[in-house]
Amino acid sequence: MTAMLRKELYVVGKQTRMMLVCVASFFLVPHFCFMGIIYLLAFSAGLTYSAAYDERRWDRFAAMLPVSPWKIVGSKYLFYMAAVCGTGAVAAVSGWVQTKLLGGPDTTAAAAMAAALAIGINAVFLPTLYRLGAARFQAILSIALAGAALLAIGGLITGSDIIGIYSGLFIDASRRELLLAAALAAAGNIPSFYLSVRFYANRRYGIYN
Amino acid sequence: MDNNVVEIKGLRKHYGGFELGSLDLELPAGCVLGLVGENGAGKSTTIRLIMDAVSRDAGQITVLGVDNQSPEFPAIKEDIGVVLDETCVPEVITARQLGKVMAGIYKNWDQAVYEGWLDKFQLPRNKKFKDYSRGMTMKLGIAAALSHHAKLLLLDEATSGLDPMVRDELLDVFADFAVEDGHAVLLSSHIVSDLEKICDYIAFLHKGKLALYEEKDALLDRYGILKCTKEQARNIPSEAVHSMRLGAYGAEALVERDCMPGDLLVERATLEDIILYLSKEDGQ
Repeated sequence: MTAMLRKELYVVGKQTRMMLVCVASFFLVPHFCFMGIIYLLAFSAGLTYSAAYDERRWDRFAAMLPVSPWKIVGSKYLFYMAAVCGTGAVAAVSGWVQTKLLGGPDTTAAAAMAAALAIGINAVFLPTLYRLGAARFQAILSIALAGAALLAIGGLITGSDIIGIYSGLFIDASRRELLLAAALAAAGNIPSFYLSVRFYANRRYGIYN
Repeated sequence: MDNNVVEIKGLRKHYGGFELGSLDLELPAGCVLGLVGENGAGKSTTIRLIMDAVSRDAGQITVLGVDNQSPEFPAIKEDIGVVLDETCVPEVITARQLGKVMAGIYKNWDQAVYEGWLDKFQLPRNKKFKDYSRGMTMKLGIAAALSHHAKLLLLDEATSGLDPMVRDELLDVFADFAVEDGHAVLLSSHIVSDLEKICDYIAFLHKGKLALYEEKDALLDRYGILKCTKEQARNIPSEAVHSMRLGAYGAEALVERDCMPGDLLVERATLEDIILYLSKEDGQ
């Protein structure tokens, strides 16, 4: 498992560092209401990049190695969780600087909620990705993100309370809501992991080809 | 395990418009088996099937005495070094980093041996894989495959696209590996001259079917090239001729030496001659 985590780090290390800088910058901006979305976007992009990369080259080689699909998929989940936690910590520090030094709103809850959502979304993303393959997954993800962006822009133009809803979800989240979101996200990853292993093994074995 | 490192019986695989098999092959210990065939003949599929990296429709494969679909097989993979036609190492990592990844994968990983191969192949440790030449990528794949004390090497087109000097150097490495106790090499290639140089057995896959599987020396003894006039060609026993080319000035044929009358001069056939004629025979 350590070897697979190491390989993840080598492959997406640069992207992860860029993402950390990106998240830290956005959480420094006072009243930047879409920071959670930026956070999720950055993660989705990293995840799909890594998976597409693996599908193109590494998986073929990995099938020849004494490494089980459990370890390969497990390392993906672990790496993602570690990245979410690391980014959450960066966002929290950045948010603290923004609140204390720049006088903006407290973004701790937003950072925690974004991290919980990222973990929750991962529970859906990874099995979907392993089942459909990186190319189809990327296409679906692009459509979904474009839809979300249109919805947000449309809401802003038409004057609907999208910022209010968004603030309620992220910035104004209570401790109870945060704990619930984190628990749900973590629980969702358990069945997700088993499904992903099954899908990955089937895909590698040529069952979906 | 008898004396066979790999045993394939009745192997079949079908997907899309391609059908492989039925395949029966054996790779004895201490030997190099050359798997030759045109592009798309099923060489890579056979290697993937041996590693159980793809599902099979029928048949049985035993590797190092273990059925490759048994729960024990993942542990047996520790003893198998694989080099694919395209080294699928992530292109952003370096040889040094690959060593660290592999050290975590193989229990028997020997960093000193790996470093030795990097030195021998003159591979830079901190250069990213994407900046390697084709020869360097193959050498890195081979260095990794040889650094965990494998007993079996599976090499899928490991010498294609390389210049003759590098190929020659690598063939020597494979031949040295095979002579060690209990070791064996399966080398797939369409460069027949490479196979002729180091192989003990030759398996010829043609359109997914096993057209030939024989000891190389026996094969070279059995077949010959006959160059004669058209008149002479008409008198050759039909059972002796495998494939014949008629030209403006005469005929050239792949023949079985034992079936030939003594008055005709039969030249020694190269492995390439045999493979080419046999593949044409199928098309005639």
